[in-house]
Amino acid sequence: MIGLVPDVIPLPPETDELRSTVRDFLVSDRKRHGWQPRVDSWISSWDPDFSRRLAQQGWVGMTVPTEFGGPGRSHLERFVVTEELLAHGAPVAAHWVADRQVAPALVRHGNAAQRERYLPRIVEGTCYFAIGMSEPNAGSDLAAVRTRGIRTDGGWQVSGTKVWTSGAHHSEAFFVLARTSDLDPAHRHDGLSQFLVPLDSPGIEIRPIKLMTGQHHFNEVVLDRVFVPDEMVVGAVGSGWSQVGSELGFERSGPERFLSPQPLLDSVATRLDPADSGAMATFGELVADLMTLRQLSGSVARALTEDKPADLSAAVVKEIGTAYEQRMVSECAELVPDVRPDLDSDTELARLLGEALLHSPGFTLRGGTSEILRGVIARGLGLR
Amino acid sequence: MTTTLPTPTTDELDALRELADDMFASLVEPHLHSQQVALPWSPDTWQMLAESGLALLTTPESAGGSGAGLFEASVLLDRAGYHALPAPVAESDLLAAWLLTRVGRIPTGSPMTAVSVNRTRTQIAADEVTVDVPWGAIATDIVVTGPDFIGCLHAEPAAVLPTGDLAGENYATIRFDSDSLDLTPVTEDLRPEFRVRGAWARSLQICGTLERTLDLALAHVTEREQFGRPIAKFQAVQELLARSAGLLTSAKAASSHAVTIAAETGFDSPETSIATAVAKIQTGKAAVGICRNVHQAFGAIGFTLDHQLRHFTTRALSWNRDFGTTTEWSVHLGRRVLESSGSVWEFAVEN
Repeated sequence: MIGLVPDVIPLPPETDELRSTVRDFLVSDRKRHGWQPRVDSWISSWDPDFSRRLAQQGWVGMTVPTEFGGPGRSHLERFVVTEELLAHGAPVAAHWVADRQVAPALVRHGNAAQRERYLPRIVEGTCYFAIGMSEPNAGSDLAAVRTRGIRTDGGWQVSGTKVWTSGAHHSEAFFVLARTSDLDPAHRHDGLSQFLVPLDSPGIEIRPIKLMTGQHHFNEVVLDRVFVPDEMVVGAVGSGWSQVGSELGFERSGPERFLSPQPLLDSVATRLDPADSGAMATFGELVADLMTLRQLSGSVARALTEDKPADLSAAVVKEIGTAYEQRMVSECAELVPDVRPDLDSDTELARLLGEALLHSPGFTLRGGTSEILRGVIARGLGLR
Repeated sequence: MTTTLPTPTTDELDALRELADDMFASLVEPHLHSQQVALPWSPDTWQMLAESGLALLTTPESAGGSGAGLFEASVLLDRAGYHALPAPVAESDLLAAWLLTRVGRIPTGSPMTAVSVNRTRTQIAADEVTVDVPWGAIATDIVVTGPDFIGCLHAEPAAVLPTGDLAGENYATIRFDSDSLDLTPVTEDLRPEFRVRGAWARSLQICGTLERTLDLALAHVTEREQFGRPIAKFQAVQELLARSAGLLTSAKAASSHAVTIAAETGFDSPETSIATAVAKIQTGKAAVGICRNVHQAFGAIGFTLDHQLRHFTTRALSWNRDFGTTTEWSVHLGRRVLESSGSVWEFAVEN
């Protein structure tokens, strides 16, 4: 079998210092500002003040090159910072999409105007984005998007409906994947384009879609003849599919694919008895998975640093990483049978368990379902 | 020690891999389809390994070995697993020769095996010992380590009782007493390191044999047709193999990390013990999951003595039980985490 994931190489020792600086910052920032560690903090903990403080350390938009006003750090360094942020359940949701996807996409495919307009403020931790990909009838089958861009004077008129758009109600702009030429059934991935659309544009309406926790993160965003000037087309017209595909390496392999419920595991561990060998067997196996996933995810970050293709390996890491996350949550629930999960509890463990149980179904859905990913892997194995 | 050896280049490791692939394939392929449960042991196989310097690969040259490092050993073990090579390479080099050289003895160069017993010198003097040993049925020397001794066993043939094992690895039950044991006292209990070495080697062998099962399955599902098309075209079949690929990816990542750590810090370091625990857990989970999935993909065809698949799946499942099971290593790892001073996360990062 071909190697699906690049060889595992330990992180370079110089990242140790960065890691301990991040840890020190998080401990003192939490003490000072009182935020609570959260499961899925990258989705649910929206805190612009935290984003700004983090940016002051140089840890937002880290990989943006210096020529575009960024710190010009490597993907491996971003990997280390992101690991620590998620493991501590820090409130990173506000700048998350801008940092993870928008900044690298603009660096890769953006034009000068887009870079100037957004990159410096992303790096300052003050400019937030959402992603408009899924639609009511285009979920896993993303090529079925019906949002349409029609050529008009000096730009495009874009109409359609996007769903599951996290954070649109707080964000400045969003990436919209739209069809700019008619669907060719033989080449379904052709004719798609990416637009950068400010969310205060005339013709945009944002409606909440509440999560099963009752919280408001998702939205439905309706675009009704929204004018998008030519300079806000991202990359080349018609290249939307391959551009989105090249972003998947970043989106699918990151530490959020195995660390989303990490605060729960750390909290549960404080309650375990080393003499209980049944509990130790369960717990030890979870730790083994955590350690291996770190190495796999790190090896993909290294490939991204070296500008190597990573979409297949990212699919593998996401598939096994998110399966681990779900297993971890259900095993943790078994390890603390006396804890009643409660989103509003003052007890940290009860709250984290509640968050983890209710967020768990999303782990293997967002960013490409596990079923779709296994299809990607099967193709990589030569079965399709 | 291993730490002083230079790290081999990728080209050197590729050359070793190619040599092992060619040699092991030529030794094993002729027997893979014969109607015998076990692959046959042949002294000629050992002779060929010895002449190529592969029999005692990491044993120092001063003790008759090739003096190579653990990266080289990992390639050899992985390939031995991939080809189901019926020879005690892990046992002879990493276990028996290591123990012998610890007490200043030189291995004879014949196939060896080793076993760890929970008896002190005094206890052995008082009572006969019975142990199960892989390759015990064919090994010329059986090295025994207890808490306070290393001994070489000159067992009477009558005391060696070949026993069945899942993979045809020539297990034997061996009975011995202090008279038949040529014993040297030691002050350090080497059994924990023995277990780490064994688990480390088995992890690599399991990765190799699982890779072979997956290669066989990928070829099978693209050739085998049902309902008018290759069964690879069915999502249910793709799912079996995609999940297996994920399991193998984890097993290989954990094992490769254990190789790096062992090469850097030696087999007796706490770091290697933890990295090996993770590797043995991941390869154990992969062995169970992949063997299940691959047999499912092969249908009845892979369930027969006619098909070669069994040589690889049975080895994976048999090796999975050697030197600590998934559960035993998980308990060990869980306790190590709780003993550490920091959080689970800090433990995961530091190891």
